Amino acid sequence: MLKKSYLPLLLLFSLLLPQAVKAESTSFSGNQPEGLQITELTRQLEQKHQTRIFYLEEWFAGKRFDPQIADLPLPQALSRIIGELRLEVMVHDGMIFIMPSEAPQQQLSAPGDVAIIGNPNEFGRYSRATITGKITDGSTGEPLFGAVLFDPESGIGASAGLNGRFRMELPVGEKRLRISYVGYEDRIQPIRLVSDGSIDLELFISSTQLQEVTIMAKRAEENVLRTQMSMISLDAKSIQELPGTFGERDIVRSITLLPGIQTVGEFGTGFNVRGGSADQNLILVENVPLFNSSHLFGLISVVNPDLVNNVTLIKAGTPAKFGERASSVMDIRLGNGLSTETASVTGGLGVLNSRILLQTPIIKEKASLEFGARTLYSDWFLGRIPSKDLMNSAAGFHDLTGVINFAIGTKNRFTIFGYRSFDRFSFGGESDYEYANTMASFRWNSFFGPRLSSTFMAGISNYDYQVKEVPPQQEFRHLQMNSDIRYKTIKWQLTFQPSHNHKIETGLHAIEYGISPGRLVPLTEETVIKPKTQADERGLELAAFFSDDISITEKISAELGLRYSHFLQLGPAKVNLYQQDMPMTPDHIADSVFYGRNEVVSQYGGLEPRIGLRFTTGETSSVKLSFSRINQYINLITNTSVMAPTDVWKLSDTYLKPLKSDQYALGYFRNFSENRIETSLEVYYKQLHNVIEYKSGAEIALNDYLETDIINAKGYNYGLELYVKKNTGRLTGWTSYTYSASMRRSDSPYPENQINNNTYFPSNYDRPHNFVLNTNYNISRRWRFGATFTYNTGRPVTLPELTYWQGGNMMVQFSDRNKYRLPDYHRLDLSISLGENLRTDRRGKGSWTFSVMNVYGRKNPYSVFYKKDSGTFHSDTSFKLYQVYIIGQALPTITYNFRF
Amino acid sequence: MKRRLNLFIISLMALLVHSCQEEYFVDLKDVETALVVEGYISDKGGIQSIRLSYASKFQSVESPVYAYGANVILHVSDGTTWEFHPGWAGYYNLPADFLAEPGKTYTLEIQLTGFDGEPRVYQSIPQAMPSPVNIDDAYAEFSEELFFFYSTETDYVYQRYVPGTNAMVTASNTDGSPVRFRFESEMYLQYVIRYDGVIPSYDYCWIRRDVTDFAGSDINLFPNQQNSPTRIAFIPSIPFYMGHLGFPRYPYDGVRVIINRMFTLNEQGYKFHKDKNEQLGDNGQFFDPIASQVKGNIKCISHPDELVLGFFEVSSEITRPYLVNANEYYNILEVDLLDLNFDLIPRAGCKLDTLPDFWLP
Repeated sequence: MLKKSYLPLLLLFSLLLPQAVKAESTSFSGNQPEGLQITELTRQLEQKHQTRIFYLEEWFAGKRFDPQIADLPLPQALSRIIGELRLEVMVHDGMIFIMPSEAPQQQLSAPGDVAIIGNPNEFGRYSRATITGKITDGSTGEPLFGAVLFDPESGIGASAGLNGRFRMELPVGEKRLRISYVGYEDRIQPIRLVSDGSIDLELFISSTQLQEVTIMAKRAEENVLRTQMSMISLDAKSIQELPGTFGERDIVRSITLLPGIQTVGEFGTGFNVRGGSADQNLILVENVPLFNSSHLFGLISVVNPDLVNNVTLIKAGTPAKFGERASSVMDIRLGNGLSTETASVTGGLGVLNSRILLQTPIIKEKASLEFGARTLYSDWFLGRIPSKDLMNSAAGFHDLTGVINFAIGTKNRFTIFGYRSFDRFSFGGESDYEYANTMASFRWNSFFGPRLSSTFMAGISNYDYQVKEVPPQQEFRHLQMNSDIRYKTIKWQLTFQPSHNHKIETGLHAIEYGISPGRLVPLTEETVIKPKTQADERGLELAAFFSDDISITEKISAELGLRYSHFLQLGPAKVNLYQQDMPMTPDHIADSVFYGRNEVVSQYGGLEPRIGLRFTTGETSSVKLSFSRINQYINLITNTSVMAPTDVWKLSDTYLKPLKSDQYALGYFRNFSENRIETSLEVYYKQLHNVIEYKSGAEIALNDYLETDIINAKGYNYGLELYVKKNTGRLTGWTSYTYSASMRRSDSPYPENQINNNTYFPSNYDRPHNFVLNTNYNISRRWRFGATFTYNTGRPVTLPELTYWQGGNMMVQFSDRNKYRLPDYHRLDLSISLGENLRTDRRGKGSWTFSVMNVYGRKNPYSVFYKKDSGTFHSDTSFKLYQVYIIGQALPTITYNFRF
Repeated sequence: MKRRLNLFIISLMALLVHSCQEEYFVDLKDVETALVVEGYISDKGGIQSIRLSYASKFQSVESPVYAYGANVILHVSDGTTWEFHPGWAGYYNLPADFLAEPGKTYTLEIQLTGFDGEPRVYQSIPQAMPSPVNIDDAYAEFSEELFFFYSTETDYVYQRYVPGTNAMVTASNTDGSPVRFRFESEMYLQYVIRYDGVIPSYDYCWIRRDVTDFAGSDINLFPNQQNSPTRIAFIPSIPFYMGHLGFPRYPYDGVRVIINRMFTLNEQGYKFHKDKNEQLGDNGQFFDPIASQVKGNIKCISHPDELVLGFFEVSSEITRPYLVNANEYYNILEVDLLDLNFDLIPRAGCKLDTLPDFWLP
C-alpha cells in the first residue's frame, strides 16, 4: 500500500536540494567497487520509506553508491543518488520518479555537461537519429547563417540556414560536436544522442583563438573575452528573470538596477547613466530611437517586455556604428524572427494593466508575425475612489507593437517594425496631458557569403505631447499647448569578416530632425489667451563610421573605430544677435537675422574616435580599456531634475553648442566557479563640454529667447562600479556597488550666467553611493522567490534657506545650486511566482506573480518644493516646504500570465 | 467576495495615484542670517530713506529683526557725502535737503557691527541715476483679469475672470537707449452719494487704494523696444468686484483717476526687479524646477564671503495722473495735473454737501 504522505516531499526536496548537493561534493562515493548498485540502494529505500522509485538503470551504469545513503532521510538520499547527473526527482501519487532533467534546451551548463538529445526512454532503440536546432549569436539572438556543426568522429557536418536552423543525422551515442562560425568562438558541445531531438546553440563573438578547453567554457566567459566593456546584455530568458514592476517585467526600470545606472525615483521618465541626463541615452527599438520611454510619467516603460528578444546597453567604449547620444546606447531587439514555429498567444492580467502577445508563422521559416498590445484600465477604478478630484481624473495608456520578419531566398531577410504608444492623464477634470510615441522601421539584411553582409535600415520616430487646460465653466481659459519632434533616419552598414577573429564594419548614417517647440491654441472663441506658435526647428545629422575588431595576439584584442558626424541647422529660422561684451539677455538683443528655407543657419562636426582594448590575464580574467568621444546635437530642455513628458527637445543652434563627451574607462573582469559567478570592477572618467545648465528661474515653454536662459557649462563624471553576478543554480542574481560623482561648472564672466560663482557643483544626477541586491531563488520547479533591495544617496536639490522683505514683498533666498540632498533612497521589493504547470499535455498554461513593492513602507521623497501662501484673505504671506513621495506604503500587486 | 476584491483594487489605485505630500523640514542650523538692504533713492525730493533688517531662516516664525546702530553714508559722484539718520524699525533717513539728480552716481556705504561683535563694512555697487523716460502715449484696451474672491458666508475662496480696462502707456528715451522702468499705480475714486429728503443732500467722497492686485506694480517688459506698450493698471468694469479691495460697492459711478509713479531704472535695477517678479510668480512645482534666485548689488567689503541681500536702487521718478472716463470703461484719457497735488489727497473721506478742493469736475 503506497502512502500519500510523500506528497509534501516535493517541496521539501526543493528546499533541501541545494544543501544536499553541496554536501555531496565532499562525500559522494560513486564508482566505488564496494558500494551498492542503484537497484539495491533503491530497493532498500523503497522498503524503508514504503514507496516506489522509478528510473532507468542505464542512467546509473557503472556507478556504485555509499551504503550509508540508505540510512539518510529520503530527500537527502535521493539528492545524493542523482548527484551531478542531469536528473530530477518528482513525487506523484506517493511514488518517486527519477527522470531526465527538463533543463532548457540551450546547453549552457557547466563544463563537462552532456546534452541528452532525444527521449532517454528510447535509449538503444535507434542506431541513427536526427538533430535539429538553431544556432544564434549569444549576445544578440541573431541567427547565424552559415554556422557549421561538425562531428569529427563520423566526419558528418551540417551548416545553418538563413534563419540559423540546421538539421543533421548522426549515429546515436556520445559525441563531441564542434560548432564554428567566422568571427565567433568555436564551441565544442558534448552530446548523448538517443533519438531524434533538438538542441539550440549559441556562439559568441571573440577576437582570440583560445584553447579548446577554454572554448568549452561557453557563454559565461563572454563578459571576460569580448573586447567591448561596460556592456550589459540581456536575452529573452534573462529578461524573464528580471524583477517586476507592478507585477510586470520592465526592461527600462530593471536596467536601472545595474551598476552605473540610476533613476530619479519611482516617477520620472528615463534613466541616468554614469551621471548623464536622461536625454543622453539613445534607446533604440528595432534601430529607431525612442524619445519617451515611459508610460504614466515613468511608472512603467513603454517597451512591451513580452516582445523583447534581447537588450544590450553600452555605457562606455561605444562602437563607432552608434552615435547621437553622449551617455549610453540601449539597443532593444524585438521578436523571435523566423524561428516562430507555431501560433501562440500569451498575455497577462494585472491590477493596473493587461497585455497580450500573438506570435505566428505566416509561411513556415519564411515569414512570421508578432503583435503585442498593452492597455491600462484605471479610469474605471478612479471613478470609484471616494475623492472628488480622483473621481474626475483619468489615467490610461495603450501601446501596440508589431514585427514582421520575412526572407526572400536564402540571402535576403527583411524586418518590418511598427509601434504606437499613447498616454493620457487628467486630474480633476481641469487639465489633460496626452503624449504619444510613433515608430516604424524597415531593415534589410543581405548575405553575400559567409564573410560579407550588409544591413540597410530606414525608420521614423515621432513624439508629440499636448496639454489642455479645460477648467469647467471657464471657457475663456480653455487652451491647448502642444509640441512634437519628428525623426527620420537611413542607415547602411557593411560587415566584412575576413577571419573568425577579425571583423570590419563600415557604414553611413543620415538623420533628419524636425521639432515644433510649442504651439499655444485657444480652444474656444471665449478664450482670452492669444494663440502663439514658436518657429519650427530643422536639422540634418550626417555620419560615416568605420570600425575594426581584431585579435592582435592570442591575449590582446582591439576594437578601433572612427566616426565622423556633421550637423547642419537648417532654416527657416530667426537668430537674435546680442550686443558684444554684454551678457546674453533679451535686453541686449542688437539685431536679428532671418534665414530662408534650407539655408544653413549653423553647423558643427567632428571626429569621434572609439578605442577598445582587451588584455587577457588568465583563463577567466581580463583587463579592458576604452575611450570614446560622442557629439550630441539634440538635447532635452528641462528646468526640472527629472525628465517630464512635457519637456521640449531642442537642436543645436547658433548659441546652443553640441554636447561633447570624452569617456575613459578601465575594467577588470574575472569569473569564478567555472563561470557561474561573474565579477567586474570598472572605473571611468567622463569629460563633458557644452553640457546644458539653466539660469535661475529659467523659462522653458514658449520662450522666444530660450538661449538667454541656457548656460553652456562644463562638467565631469567619474565613478567606480563593482558587480558580482551568479548565473546558475537555484539562487541567481546580482549585487553591485557604485561610487560616482557628477559635477558641473559654468564658465562665464557675467554674474547673470554664473552658477555658484563658476565653482563646481554636483549635477542633478550626482548620487555617490548606490547599492543593489537582486536575487531569485527557485524554491521548486514552479515556485520562485525574488527580492530586490536598492539603496541610493539622495539626489542634490536646491532649497530655500532664508526669507526677507523687499519692497513690501516677502522674498526667498535659495541655497547654492544643489547644495542639499534629499534623504537617501532605499526600498525592498519582494515577489513570489507560481510558474506554469509542467504537464506538456495542457494547451493553456498560466502563472501567477504576487509582489509587494516597498515592503517596509519607506517614504522616499521624490521631490521637495515650496509653496507660497500669499495670505490674501486669512493670513500673512508664508512659505512651506513639502516633500512628495510616490509610493509611501507597501504596495501589493498580483498578476496572472497566460499562454496557449 | 467580489465587493472585497473591488475595494482591494480601488485601494491599490488610490495608493498609486494619490501620491502623498507632507511638510518637509530642512536642517538649516548651519545657515547664517544675512543683512537685508531695502534702499530706494529717487530725484523726487522729500524724505529719502533705506531700511536695514536681517533675513529669517526659512520656515522660521520669527518676526523680522531690524538692524540698528548702523552708520549709513551716501557717496555721490560729485564728491559729496550724506549721512543717514536713524529712524524707527530699521529705517535710516537722508536729510530733507538732499535731492538726487540724474546723471550722478550714488554709492551706499553701511558700517555695522555684526552678531559676532566684529565691525563690518557694506557697500553697494555704484549706481548711476538715469534720466527719466518720456511718456509718449496713453490709451485703453479691453482685457480680463483673474480675481480671487472670498465669500464670508461660505468661507470659501474662489477665482473668476473679470472684464475691464487695461490702462496702457508707451515710453521712450530720446537718445534711443533701452527703456527701463518700474511703476506703481494707485487708483483714486471720487463719488457722490445722494440722500433724498425734503432737501436732498450729497456726500462728496473719495478713496485711494493700491491697485497691486490688478497689475498696478510691475516693470516694462521690452526694454529694447522704444514705445512698446506697458500696462500700468487694470480697471475692472464691474464695481462690485472691487468691493474686497476697499472700494465702495455702491454707489460706484464716479471719477476714476490712476496716479502712476514711474521710476526709471539703470540696467542693474531693472534686472533686480525682473528677477524679483519672476520669483514672486513662482509657487513651487511638483517636478522640482530650478528656483528663481534674486541677486542684489550690495557687498560686504570687510567680509567678502558674507551674503548680503536686497538692493540699493537709484531711480528718477515721474508721477502722472490719468483720468478714467467713468461712463466708458473702454477708454482712458490722460489728463493734466492741473493745479491738484495728488499727494495731498487724503486716502479716504467724505464731505457733506461740500466739494473738496481737489474735486475733479
